[in-house]
Amino acid sequence: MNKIKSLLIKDFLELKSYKKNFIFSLFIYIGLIVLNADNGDMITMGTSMIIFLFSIYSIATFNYDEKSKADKYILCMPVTKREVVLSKYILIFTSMVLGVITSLFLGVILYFIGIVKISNFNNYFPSLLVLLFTLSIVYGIQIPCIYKYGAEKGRLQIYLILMFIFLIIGIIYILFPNINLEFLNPFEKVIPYILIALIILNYYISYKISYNIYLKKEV
Amino acid sequence: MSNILTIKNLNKKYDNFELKNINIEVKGGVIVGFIGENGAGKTTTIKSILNLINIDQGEIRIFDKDYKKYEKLIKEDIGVILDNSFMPESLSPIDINSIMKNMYKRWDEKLFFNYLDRFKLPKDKAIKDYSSGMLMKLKIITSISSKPKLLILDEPTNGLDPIARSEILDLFQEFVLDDSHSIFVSSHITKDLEQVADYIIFISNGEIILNSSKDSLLDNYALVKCSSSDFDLIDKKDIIKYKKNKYEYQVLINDKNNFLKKYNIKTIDKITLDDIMLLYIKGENNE
Repeated sequence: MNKIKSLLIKDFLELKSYKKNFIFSLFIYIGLIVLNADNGDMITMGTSMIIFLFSIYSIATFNYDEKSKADKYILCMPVTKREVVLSKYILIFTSMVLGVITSLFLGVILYFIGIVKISNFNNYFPSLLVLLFTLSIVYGIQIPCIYKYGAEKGRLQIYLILMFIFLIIGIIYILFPNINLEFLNPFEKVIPYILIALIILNYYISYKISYNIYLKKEV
Repeated sequence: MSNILTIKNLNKKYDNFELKNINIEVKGGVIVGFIGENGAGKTTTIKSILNLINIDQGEIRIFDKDYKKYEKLIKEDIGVILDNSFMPESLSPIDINSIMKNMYKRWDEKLFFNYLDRFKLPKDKAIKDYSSGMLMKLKIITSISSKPKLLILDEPTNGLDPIARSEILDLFQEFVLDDSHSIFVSSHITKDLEQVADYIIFISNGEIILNSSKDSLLDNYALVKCSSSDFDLIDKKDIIKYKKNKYEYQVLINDKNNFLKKYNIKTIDKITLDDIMLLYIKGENNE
């Protein structure tokens, strides 16, 4: 476990040097929430962007490692490829948890100082689950691609993956313009659990694929 | 005493390059210089030892253990410098210490900071602001502070000024004072290896051409400079390689004493590793 801790320390220390950019972006999203305090959808979007911001910075560590060829150096240390891959998934998971905590904390503060109403947070938890599920698909595909093709090409891949997801959603809307999701109502209480299970499953499958790619990879 | 590093019949094939039957042994308390031109196979051999690439064939044992089966255990005892790779450039030595003390069981924080002071390296400055000499010193200090038994160094003196090189070579010699410590160092700056190496392994085009103690190499090999008529008198069996220049022949021989007894050619120069490398690569065969 010490080895994974060591790799996580490396990534967090690396991210520390980008804190100015991070805080600047964070304030933009906080501003977005404050300026649209009476619009529930914009609040959901702002909080989602905060979580996305945290996760995108953790993914960026792949680029930083590649730039300094740290990935090769790390493998010269007493650490297995399994631990290297696992540490990245733990980092992404941790960054999302931090994103959720930050967005919740922000919501609570804005509520207590009277900027937003509690009713504007009605959609927060359902949206949060959908966001985490979507990100699990995006990163679930992107991380193995990074291990296979490198972080630079991975940057392009994330846009392609997002475009592909939006394209699928668009096609569904075009094919079924009057789509009625009421049939899901009886399962309303089960859906969050199904989504959580799918999120875990996505990351687990993605981790297994990444590990197998990295195991065969020559650096 | 068992070897620190043993490589037997290592083979690795790429589309345009091949490592062919590499055999290497490194004993305790020695510095082994691994020389060869760029693209000769030095880095590929080192990457094979470190299991960074998958070898096609062969056996690699480090500290008498299989390098794959006991990889994690073995790497606790190895310090590495590998071409341009290191920690992310936004990190400082203080950050590196925080990472390494969790990574290595025997990481010596005190030793690391003592070395930083000795080499006057700033502790809180980001690596990206280090000069190339400072960075190389930091890499070496980092590799030594985990108290390894074997240092594997790929071109560690590359790009350093003479003073920095001398300081680093001193450090290598200090390291091998302990008989259980060894250094396997690749370099194309052969002058450095002439200074510190105990053994020289010369690789060219993926094959080991020479594997000998440095003293025996520099004592027995020689560079003969002679005229065309003298060259014709030399038995071709005594010529390892030769090069025809405008006014003279340069001949590489490997038994200086025998040559002096056998021929009346006295223009024999003291040889350097550079001469040997150059003639092996650029010289012609004796046939």
